[in-house]
Amino acid sequence: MKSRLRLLGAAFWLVAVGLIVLSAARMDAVFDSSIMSVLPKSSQEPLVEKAIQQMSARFSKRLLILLSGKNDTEVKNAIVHFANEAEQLTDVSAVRWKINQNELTQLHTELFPFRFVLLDETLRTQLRLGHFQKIKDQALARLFSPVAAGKAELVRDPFALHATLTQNQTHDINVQVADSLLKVTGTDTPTYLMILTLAEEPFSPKVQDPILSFIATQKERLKAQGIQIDMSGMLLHAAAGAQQASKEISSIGVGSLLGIIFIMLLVFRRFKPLGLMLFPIIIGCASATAITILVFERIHLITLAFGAGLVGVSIDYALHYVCERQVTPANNVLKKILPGLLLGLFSSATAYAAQALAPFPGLQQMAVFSVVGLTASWLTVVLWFPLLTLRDKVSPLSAASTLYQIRGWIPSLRQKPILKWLLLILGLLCIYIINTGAKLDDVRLLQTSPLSLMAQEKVVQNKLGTSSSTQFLLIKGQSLEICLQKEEALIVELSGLHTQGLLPDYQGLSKQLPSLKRQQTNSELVQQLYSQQLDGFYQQIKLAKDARQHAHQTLQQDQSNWLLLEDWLQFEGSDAWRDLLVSQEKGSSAVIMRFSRTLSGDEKARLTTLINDRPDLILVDQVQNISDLMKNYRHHISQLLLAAYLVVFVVLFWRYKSQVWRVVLPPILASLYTLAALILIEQGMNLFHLMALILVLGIGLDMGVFMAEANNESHTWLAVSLSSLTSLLAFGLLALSTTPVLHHFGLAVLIGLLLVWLITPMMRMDITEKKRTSPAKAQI
Amino acid sequence: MNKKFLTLLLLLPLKCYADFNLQQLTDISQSPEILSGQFIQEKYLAELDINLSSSGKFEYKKNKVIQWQTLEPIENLLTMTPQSIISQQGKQTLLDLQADSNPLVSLLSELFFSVLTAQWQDLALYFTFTGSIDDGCWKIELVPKDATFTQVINRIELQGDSLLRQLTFYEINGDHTEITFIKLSQ
Repeated sequence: MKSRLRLLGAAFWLVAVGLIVLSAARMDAVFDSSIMSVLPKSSQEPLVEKAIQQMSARFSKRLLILLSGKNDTEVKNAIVHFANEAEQLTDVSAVRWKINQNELTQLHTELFPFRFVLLDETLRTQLRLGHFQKIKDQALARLFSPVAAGKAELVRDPFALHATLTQNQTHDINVQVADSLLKVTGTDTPTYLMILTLAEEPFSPKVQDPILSFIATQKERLKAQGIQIDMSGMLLHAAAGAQQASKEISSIGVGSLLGIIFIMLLVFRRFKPLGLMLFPIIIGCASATAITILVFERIHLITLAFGAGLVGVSIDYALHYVCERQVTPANNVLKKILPGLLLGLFSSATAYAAQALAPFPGLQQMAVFSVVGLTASWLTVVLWFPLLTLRDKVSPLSAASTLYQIRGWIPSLRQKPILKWLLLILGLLCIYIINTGAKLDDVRLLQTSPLSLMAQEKVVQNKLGTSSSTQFLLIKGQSLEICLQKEEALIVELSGLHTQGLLPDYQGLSKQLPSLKRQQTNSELVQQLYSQQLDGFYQQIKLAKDARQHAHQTLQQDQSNWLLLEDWLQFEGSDAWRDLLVSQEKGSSAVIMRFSRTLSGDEKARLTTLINDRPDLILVDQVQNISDLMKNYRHHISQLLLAAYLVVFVVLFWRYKSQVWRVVLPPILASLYTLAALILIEQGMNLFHLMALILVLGIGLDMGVFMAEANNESHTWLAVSLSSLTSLLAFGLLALSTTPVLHHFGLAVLIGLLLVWLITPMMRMDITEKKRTSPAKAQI
Repeated sequence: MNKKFLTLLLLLPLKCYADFNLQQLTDISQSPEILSGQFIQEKYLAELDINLSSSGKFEYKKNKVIQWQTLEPIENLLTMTPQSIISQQGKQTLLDLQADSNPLVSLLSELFFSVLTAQWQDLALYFTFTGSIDDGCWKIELVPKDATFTQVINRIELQGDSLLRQLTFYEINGDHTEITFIKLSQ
């Protein structure tokens, strides 16, 4: 009867898991990989948010490609060939690599009607200072110069206002048009630019693969011709990061899997236990994934990776059962170890559930995932293992006694009282190191790109004089006009700092599209120039009087040709500057000013002081934002870890009373030592170290609980040792990874688990005491 | 008709055309290290149908500097180096352009440099050459093949013997500038 009930329960459980998984599979689950979606909902205002998106889209969807070589003609031919083929790619929405004659003419003529209101900056300063004579002399010199560029407009623009403007016009990148192509200026060898715009975000392999394989073929071909290719763009980083991570996970993963199989076979000398280990983990991960999808309607890859790691703790339950089964008949196993299993599950689940309290969606997902996963694995062990191991023979394992002997070499506190003091002093020292040690919340921790790619990125950015930086100034105002006026006022201050070398160069919308107020002043200045200098100018070149009249007439006609946003947006030349406009809505307009390179710490501080008491100016630094966020995460996780230990302590105290320290101290000490060690060997402690310590906590608690419940039996020690070892192999090996996130996580797991394994035996009861309580098992 | 003759006939116009080549031009024209002299410049403005005359003196050091001094009707000194163009009137600097910040102007001055010092190989990168050489005198026409120049220049006519004697820039808007060199001394 009892066994039939058991069978029913086990079957029911499997059906339940199946149903949950099926219903989750029917949902159109989204697999998230963007780092942004694990971050908390932005507290930033919508305008800032929009500006950030606009600026990052500029980088994320563009792929800048530079071709360079010794021979100009060869490079030119290469870029034409390359571009023509790139245009055939379906995932590329635009390829910009040439400017045709029409576009070029338009670029030069579209601003002409606005020559009286849109002035070159230097010329404007001269006008404001009243240097009218100088402007006339410049115009004359230009007229007689053998190398003057552009048509001499003696009537419509005698002072060459338009020519001066276009001639000094800046570009957003260091490029000039040469033979209709975009040639990079100031490089040693002829270099040409091509910009691919992606049709979609660059994070999915669907977009990455065709473009990357296309580039690889081109690269091969160009290499044969002696032409070098340099590239910059999010696509490359996204692809390289994913590739490296998957390569490492598979190579390290295969290594650890082989290691685990080898050890299992060595210990059990049968294949069955291996299958038994996997079964609950698979059920755990499947139900955890399903429930997470049902609750959140999406699952993040980070949740999946770390969550699966935490569910890996559940191998404890399986090992504990299987090892115990080796020495105990089928009927008695569960009876004997159920209290330990229950306490183990309870303490780990409580510790992990604490993460749900954090205001971060990433941690909430992970909490649900790991608690569900652990519980499901646990249920699988409890419900299924008695059935699966029903006919197994009792046969003690020789590995258990060997390991037990090894454990004997580790001194216990009772044997060596001085050890107590050593551990305590070391613990205090570690607390001191942790408190004073460096904390690292650098966004570079999230960096997954290889160094060579970062270097190439820098080369391209330097050549083009641009920056992928997400630092910028946001200027807010009631209307676009007000924003532009504010920017113009600010530029006066910024240019002062720039000429002193205290700030990098900057780009602003008002330089392309001045405020109407500025346009009006410009027009008035030009009228003064005409009335004072036009007669003299014409006399000097002996021009007929009617030309003079014509000139005055065209000024009358065009002096109120205001350049409006609608017109400007139609311009060929506004293309590169449009993303400086964030919003032109009444009541909440905003524009962006960006810098030619990343601001240094000093420069940033200077700028912050400058805009300090002006709420309408915001210095946005997305890198800083992410770093701040990681710092927040780190704070929350350390607090949660403390809270988790507290709860676990209370629960375990209720069972173990004054002996509770034997269970709780090993993971606590191991965590402290690990953190201090990490601070000493790495540059500082970071978020991913703490994530690893959650795993150490889970395994450490299980170890303490099982050992305490089972009275330090040799087969229990074998079970918890094996569990540590498998986790070490599965995650500790990630310390070899070159991807920072994986490396930090892996190293912390490695050190932490080793320490837990060493410290737990120190807390054991005296050996003689144990021999007395269960002499039979100790002999094995 | 005999086949050989036909082939010869077909080759003939090609051969004539090939008669003018850069090598011959290079052989005839000198490219002195230092040169100075005077110039007369006539700028024709199509829109107003007028000629603006100016004159002055110049000197150059090959690949280093050209000093172009207009004396009539205004006084102006233009100093061109491969890196910059500076325009001065008396002691006052009117304009100081650095080549890297001003691609078009720097290209034009590069062009002026090459034309003045007969650096045909450099010009061949941007222009196609046609013309004739007759008894040590040459007359050639340069037509830009590069969009950077076609937006400004239609063609350039050059005449000379061992040295350049006259050049005319034809702009696309119908204006043209003729510069005649006299009293050249090396």
